[in-house]
Amino acid sequence: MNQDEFERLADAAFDGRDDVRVRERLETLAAADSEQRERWKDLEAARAGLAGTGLEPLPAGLHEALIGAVSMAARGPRERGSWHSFITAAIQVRPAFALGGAVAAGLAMGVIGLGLLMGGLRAGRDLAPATTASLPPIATAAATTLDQGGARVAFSVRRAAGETFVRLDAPESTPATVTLTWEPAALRLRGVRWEGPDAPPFETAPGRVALEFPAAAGSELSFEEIVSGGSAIRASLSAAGGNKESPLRMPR
Amino acid sequence: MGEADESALVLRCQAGEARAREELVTGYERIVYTLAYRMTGDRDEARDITQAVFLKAFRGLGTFDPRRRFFSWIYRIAVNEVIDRLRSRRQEEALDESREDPADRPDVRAERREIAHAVQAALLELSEDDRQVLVLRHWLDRSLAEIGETLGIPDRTAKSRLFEARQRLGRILRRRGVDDS
Repeated sequence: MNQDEFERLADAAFDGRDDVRVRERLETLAAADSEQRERWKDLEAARAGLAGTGLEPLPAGLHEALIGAVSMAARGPRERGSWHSFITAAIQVRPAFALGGAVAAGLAMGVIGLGLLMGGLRAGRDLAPATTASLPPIATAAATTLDQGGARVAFSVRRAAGETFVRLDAPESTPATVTLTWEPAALRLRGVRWEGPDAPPFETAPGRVALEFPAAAGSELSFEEIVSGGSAIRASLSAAGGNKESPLRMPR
Repeated sequence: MGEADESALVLRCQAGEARAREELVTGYERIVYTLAYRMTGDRDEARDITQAVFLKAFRGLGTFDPRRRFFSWIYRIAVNEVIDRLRSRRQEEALDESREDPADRPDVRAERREIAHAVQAALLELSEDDRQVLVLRHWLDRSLAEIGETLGIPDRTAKSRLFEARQRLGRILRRRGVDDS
């Protein structure tokens, strides 16, 4: 049995260099040895399965999200504005957010346009009660506060239209780290909005985000509820060498 | 893209040229996405990984030496990101043993009748090392020399790893009823 020859010929077969002579020789080597025959059958199956493999097409919107993300990374934190940063960060996490944003903007413009039109047609009538009645109910928020080593962080959770929002406020400027954890199969982090000109340092992984304070004070995280009702969220506050943990109270 | 062109492109990116950033993203986005998808078998996760990889790469671009191969550099960032996610996924799966096995679902069974799905499923049964060498060769179209350079191993080792990985993949495919006939 010539193992080197067998491997060389098998490579040629994988690379499409298997002319009649190569195949005949491979068949001969395989026929002479049962072990080699099994290996050749394995390799033939792999060759059949790997035929036509290549680069995957990109999902819709990913290219645009990448261009946005690398532009932001290249610009550095100084140029970031809070709302622009929120939108960009959200789109990085899930490009469908761009589509959702566009739809929401379109709806808002439509409502304003319709309001102006109706206002013109119904000049002199008091539209305020009708307008107020058309607004969705205000989402109630549930609050949780954690204190640890002089750091205090207030968490406010609200839910609306299949999304969960968590706002983090810290009255003190004590250095601290807040870590939120959740069930990643039920909830997906979509975006982070911050108030100041600079992005707070944060790290994400499936089911987890960690934010540094005081930079993250005033930030708001938005989550997509993958399953109805989302998931419980657990908060941990680390400061001055200690740690305090609690599940966040969720709105009813 | 040639090595010299790639170095020039990276230098232009480091100088802050927006057009160069776009070219570099365009040149590598499908490579990173394909690697992430083939290694994890999950398109949503591959999308997230691709974004995380480009963010990390461009945040660290100032420290990249343009004399090195950009492919090897971004590949390393991507593989580390993939391995982190796979580890975190394993921990989650260990915590939730009652989770439904997607392979039991009728729609998935139907999908897997297709060879492409069988290959992906077989790929996920292999070790991360086997998966890497197969993805590099067959999906990212890298030569043995490039595989060796990327993985930091001699060409000959790359060759034997590839041979063994193909054989193991083929064995799984045969078990799943996929062969050359």
